[in-house]
Amino acid sequence: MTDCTEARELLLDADLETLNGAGQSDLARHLSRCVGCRALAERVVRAEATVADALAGINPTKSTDALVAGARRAGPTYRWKPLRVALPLTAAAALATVLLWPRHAAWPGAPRPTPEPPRLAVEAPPGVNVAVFQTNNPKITVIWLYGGRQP
Amino acid sequence: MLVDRARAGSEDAFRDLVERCRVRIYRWALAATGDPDDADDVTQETVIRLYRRLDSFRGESHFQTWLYRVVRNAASGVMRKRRRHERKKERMALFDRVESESETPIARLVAREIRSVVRALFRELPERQRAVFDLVDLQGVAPMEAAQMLDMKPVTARAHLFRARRAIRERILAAHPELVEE
Repeated sequence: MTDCTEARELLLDADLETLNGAGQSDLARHLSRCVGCRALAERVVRAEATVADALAGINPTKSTDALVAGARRAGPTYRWKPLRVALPLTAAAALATVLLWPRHAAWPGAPRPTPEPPRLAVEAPPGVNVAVFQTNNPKITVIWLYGGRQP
Repeated sequence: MLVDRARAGSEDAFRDLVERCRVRIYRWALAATGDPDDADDVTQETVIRLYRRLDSFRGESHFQTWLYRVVRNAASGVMRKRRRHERKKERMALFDRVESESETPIARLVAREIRSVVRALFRELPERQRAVFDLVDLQGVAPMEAAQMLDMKPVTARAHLFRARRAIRERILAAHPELVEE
């Protein structure tokens, strides 16, 4: 059995169907026999319906055609918007890097120049020709003496 | 289906889709912003987003659920642009509009009475409570669907709904002490 105090507490949470007397809940049964609580429930239902009607009665000011035209004017996509900002910034950063990079410094990733091996100064004995070949291995140098007369 | 044709690029289908959803979008925008002018801005922004991103609707959720989220995101964007004090000032317009659009003196009396309810709805309820109350009790959306639209667990949506109902109904009954005392 639900008394009026309990019913008035329950109607603060109840679904609108229950406030309209639908269902077999304790509250619905109480409302079916208590005029005072039913008046409260009806008041709640009526007030909520009035609020719903009032809000539904406020209509958008723009017509469908105006809304669609606004969308077309705004353009097809957002996706290019960040690029419009990012591309000039990237180009400016690249240009600044090129201009400000120290001239003697190597670019990152560039191949390091191989050190040139020291040149040999070979003096051949009189009457003998000499040729010096530097191989790919900097530790090996071929010295060819040729054309000399046998003693 | 209209949404499919609009996604495929049909301008006529897109226009028909906007025609069909315009009032619903505005109604959701009104609940999200509490201001008729802001709701107009949100409605336009939503249509722009629809135009640009309709192809991202994959049909995995109900179109209404997807659209509702677009409206809420658009509303967040529009409201971020507003300064807090401006928003507060402009929201008064909704209460005034509710009252002034009532035609007869009796209707205006009722309007004044519900004005406090509307004020409680938009000024005092936290945003999530307001959203779920608006969807379920004022627009008749099923609680489960409202939970999906708001990306909430059903139990969370129900808790928000109960808190909102309690706040709103206490306000309604406070306007009628003669009924409560009976």
